[in-house]
Amino acid sequence: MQRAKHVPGEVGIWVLVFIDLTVFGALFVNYTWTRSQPATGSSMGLTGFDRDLGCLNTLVLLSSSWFVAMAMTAARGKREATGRRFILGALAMGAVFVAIKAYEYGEKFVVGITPATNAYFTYFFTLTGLHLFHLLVGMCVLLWMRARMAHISSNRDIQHLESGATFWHLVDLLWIVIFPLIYFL
Amino acid sequence: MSQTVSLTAAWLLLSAATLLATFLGHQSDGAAVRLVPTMAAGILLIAFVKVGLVMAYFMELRWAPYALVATAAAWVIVECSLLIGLFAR
Repeated sequence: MQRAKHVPGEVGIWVLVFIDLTVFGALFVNYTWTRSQPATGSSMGLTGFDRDLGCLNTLVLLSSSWFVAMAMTAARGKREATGRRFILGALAMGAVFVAIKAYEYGEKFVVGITPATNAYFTYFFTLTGLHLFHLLVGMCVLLWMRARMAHISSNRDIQHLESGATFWHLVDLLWIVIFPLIYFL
Repeated sequence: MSQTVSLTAAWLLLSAATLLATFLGHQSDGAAVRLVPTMAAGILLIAFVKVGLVMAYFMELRWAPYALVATAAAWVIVECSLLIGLFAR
């Protein structure tokens, strides 16, 4: 299917996307730089990590992105009720992500691991915490999208929904990089 | 290809790539063993290919003006190169 070229969503959302990509990008480079230093990197243990939980959370977020993309397809086809159901699916995936993350944080706190434990856990809690904050904001955006989807009357409404969808996909995209950095490398 | 089919195909590909990266990452299981640089580079490369797929299919950059696509592609290339370069040191 060939479409005319257009900016998905409003220009402002892309300004936010690139600001976020720059900030997180700098954090990723900073983390990787620190890990590559013999003096500090070797003391940043990767022990006690459930990599399968990280993998599961990645699959959950990818599924949530699929739900949102499908919701946008439904909204453009004037199938608002279907779109709202897809958004509900994305919200459910978001809630699963939060539950898994809460379990993971709980596991660490119970054995006395905090952001002050070592440099690695400072990065772990900073990167995942900042991402979790974005995800919670994203879930509020999804709730707004679900309400907004009931009243689509113009292309402008679709454009607003595209902005919300773009933010949610950004949350997914950031986790795709955080997952291997924190859990494997 | 309809939009539904292409979105579902992208989701399946992204999920398969995630499972592959997890499998590769498990090769260093056992303790705080760092991955060898080639394995680390492979896992990072998979991650940034996934980022590209999310941008193209879910964020709909495949329908976007070239300037936006070029800016997003520049971030992916610069970030991927920096991270792989640092791990390969």
